[in-house]
Amino acid sequence: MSLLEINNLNIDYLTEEADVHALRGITLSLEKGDSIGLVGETGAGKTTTALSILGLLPPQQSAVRGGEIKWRGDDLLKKSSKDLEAVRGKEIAMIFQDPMTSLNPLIKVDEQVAEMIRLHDKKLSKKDSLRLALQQLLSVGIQAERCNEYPHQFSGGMKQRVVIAMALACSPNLLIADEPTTALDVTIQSQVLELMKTLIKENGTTLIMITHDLGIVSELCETIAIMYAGEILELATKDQLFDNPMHPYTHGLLASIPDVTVEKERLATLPGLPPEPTEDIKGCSFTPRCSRCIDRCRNERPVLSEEEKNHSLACFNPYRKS
Amino acid sequence: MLKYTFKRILGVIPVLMGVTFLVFTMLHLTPGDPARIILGEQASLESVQGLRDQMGLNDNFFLQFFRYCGNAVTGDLGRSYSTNRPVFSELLSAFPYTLQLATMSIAIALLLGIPFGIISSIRQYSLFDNIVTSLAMVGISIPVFWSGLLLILLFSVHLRILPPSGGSGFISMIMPAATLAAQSVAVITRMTRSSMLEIVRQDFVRTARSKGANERHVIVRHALPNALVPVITITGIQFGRLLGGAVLTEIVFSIPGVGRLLVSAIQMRDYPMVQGGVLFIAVAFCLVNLGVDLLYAYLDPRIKSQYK
Repeated sequence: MSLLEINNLNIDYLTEEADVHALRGITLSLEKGDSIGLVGETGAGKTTTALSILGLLPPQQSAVRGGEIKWRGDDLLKKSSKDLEAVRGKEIAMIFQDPMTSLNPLIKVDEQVAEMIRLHDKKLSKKDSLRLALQQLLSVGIQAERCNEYPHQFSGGMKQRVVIAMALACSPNLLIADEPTTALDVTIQSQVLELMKTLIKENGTTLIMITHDLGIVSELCETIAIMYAGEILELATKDQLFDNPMHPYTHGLLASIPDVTVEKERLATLPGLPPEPTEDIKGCSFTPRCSRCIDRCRNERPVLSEEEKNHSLACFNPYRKS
Repeated sequence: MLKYTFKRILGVIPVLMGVTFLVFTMLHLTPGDPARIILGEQASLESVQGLRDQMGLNDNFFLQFFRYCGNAVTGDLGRSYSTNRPVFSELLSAFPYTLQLATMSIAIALLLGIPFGIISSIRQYSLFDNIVTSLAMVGISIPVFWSGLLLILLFSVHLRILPPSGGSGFISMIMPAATLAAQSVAVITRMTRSSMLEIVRQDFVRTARSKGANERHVIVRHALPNALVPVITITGIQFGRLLGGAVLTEIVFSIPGVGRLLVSAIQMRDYPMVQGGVLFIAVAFCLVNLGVDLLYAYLDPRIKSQYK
């Protein structure tokens, strides 16, 4: 039994004008110890996937249109809110994008970490939980004398360390990190990534990393899923994806990574824009921008299927080596 | 924090000087001679002049002003023309009624307004929310003299369970306080609702949910404290306003409070009483504001750290 198994998940956001198709049939499975990176442009459905696993989608503005999210065999979508609360934080924890706004400004940082511990161990006294929180904060490199301070006294990088300490406080089986370094400047980024790498390795935590930065994924993840318009187009191990990208979209993405050794007037881009998220797409969603598009792509939707070992693809006319 | 409090108290002094100066000037410019008012229309010109000298009314304006300020610092606000009792003691005997009325109605307003606002925001656009927001609209619109009379009619005349006039103990103050609270309940409900709606969309509330906290914990521990700052502001304004005397309510329920005292003083051209009353209200307002500011600092460490 897989740790996490997402089957054909469809999620819409409800707006006054039309339903926005955020996820159009995501299928994904993770074993214990896996690390997967969800990569894609803004609006590809990365964060929606993450929030749906934790059941944190805004209830009135979103609707699950089918599919299942199985956690150790149980469908999380069918769980009561009480059962979900026991999973959140304890088994699946999440690190959010912006550390500036994801901590409560009125509560001291050690108490925010301690709260996480207490929520899942009701018998623990406040004092003991604070002591554990302190250890946790020390392990992410926060000095002991600063643990008793408020978030506004911390820099962005330190806040993200606190968020990481909090997420890992209950030793979750699965950690979802939603662009944990996007809001930080580059030098702090590498520190935070290094820290995450170490902690994940130490604890054997399974990881879902959301990013639009292929560099970050290659640092932390073994598997990469390329997402586009609410679908996964290509799923492969890191090496296979970089050595042998098969989907035209992945090809375009990799080609657009600037190479500092080559002098160029303009950077390579993919022509066109992603489809309107409200649109119902009959064929492949990448068709309008695809250079290898054939007739079949317009009328039939390609399904993610294994092309080679550990390399799945949703494309009728992929690039092939040789 | 102490230093900040001290600084804020010092800051109150120029405000009070300004208020005193404005009121003093305004009354000085109003037509009518205080000595003539005291002695009546029949009094001779000599006796009026004599009293003017005695009262210092013939002195230079600024001399009069600073004399007044000097006396005010020692608690001497002059004597009322109509009762000849010291203004300060008149105010002190009226103030407890006003304070009781204001405190009770603010308590009612907070006890109803905050829960209503929270529930309204959690169940936005639900039936409860619609009813509460429409009632809040009604509460703001209905004038006190009308709702007060209706309450008297119902609870005193028909049901005979509450006395029709206030000012004689807790029970007698329930109806006036409720009447007066209607508006504050409405204001506080609306403020709590809109503030909560804004806060529950914040990232840290989502973080709290992702930690596995239940909805109640998320609202009470994380959302509400963050939503309270604007609610406190508006409550402070309401409370300060009420301490200035709720004239209409005091008249409808015949409560001998500060508001009524002041209105009758104006009608009788009782200048020292008016001056003293306005000054008194200004002091009360400043103190409430100070309290509100200190409360901010207590609630929000970000505000507190600015004052260190």
